[in-house]
Amino acid sequence: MRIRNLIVLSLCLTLCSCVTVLPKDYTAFNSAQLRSILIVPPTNLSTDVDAPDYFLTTIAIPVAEQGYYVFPVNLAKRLLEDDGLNDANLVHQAPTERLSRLFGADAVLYISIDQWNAKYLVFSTTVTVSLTYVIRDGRDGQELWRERRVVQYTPQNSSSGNIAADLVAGMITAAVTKAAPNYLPLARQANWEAVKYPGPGFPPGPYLGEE
Amino acid sequence: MCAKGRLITIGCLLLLVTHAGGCASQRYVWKNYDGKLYQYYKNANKRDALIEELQKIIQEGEKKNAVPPGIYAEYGYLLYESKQYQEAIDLFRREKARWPESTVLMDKMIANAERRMES
Repeated sequence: MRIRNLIVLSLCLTLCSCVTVLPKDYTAFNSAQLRSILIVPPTNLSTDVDAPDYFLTTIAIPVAEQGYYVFPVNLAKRLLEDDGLNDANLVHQAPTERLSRLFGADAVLYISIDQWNAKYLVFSTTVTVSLTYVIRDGRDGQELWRERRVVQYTPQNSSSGNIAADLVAGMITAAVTKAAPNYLPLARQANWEAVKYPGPGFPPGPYLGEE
Repeated sequence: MCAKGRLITIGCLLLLVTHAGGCASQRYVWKNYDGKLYQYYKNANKRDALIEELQKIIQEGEKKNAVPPGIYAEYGYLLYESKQYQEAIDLFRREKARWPESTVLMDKMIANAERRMES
């Protein structure tokens, strides 16, 4: 019995850890030799008007931890607003070369918030965050890297075997999530997954491994 | 079947824990930078709490040589907004000294602050 358990466990681990992703072509990325990345405010396809600001708080850490100089996200956002670029769509439409000259950035990271919502079924809620990330070369605007992540969360109610109790538990979970769906842990998870390298992410920058 | 299901759950939980552990070993001292910035975006009255957090990050980070990129400048900008131009300039200079990649932006910010100080 113990051996069988071990087999199941190891199988599970193998299944979980060996999801193969098609390797990306990093030729252009590597030859750009980036040291610094400017993260501009994300565009928003969701109906949640707060999503871009809230998302912006989650993205600097994983990119900096990859070993790049990341421009201060709040300062950059305010400076763009002072420059008349209040609307993230305008920022994303502006030539990458212009943005990178303004800040002295080697590259620009653009994020689109494709989904940021909570769907309420009768007794459960599914929270979804879906993001597209693109890094462009600051010299010519060439796309160097792209990734899309979708992260979903549905609170799982373990069945107690008592239908009435389960219904109540489900209603409570749905109510709690409805009051304050928490997107940030999902956004953080999406970011870490997106930048992970080796994986779908991008190769580390000059400050990784530096003491 | 039930035991297997439980084992799979345990296996996946283990995996989650090890993965989370991987994220926790960070190079820089961030403390609650993201959380405090979020609170500030939610409610502009939380500005002082963000400033305090940035000060703590700098204090602790300097001891470990692990002040994250952008933090001096982020703090400097909040001071700049509240017209503390000389303090802001000092922080922009520290950002530039620690991170040469910030030179273009910091020179611009220092010039802006100097201009405002004179007027």
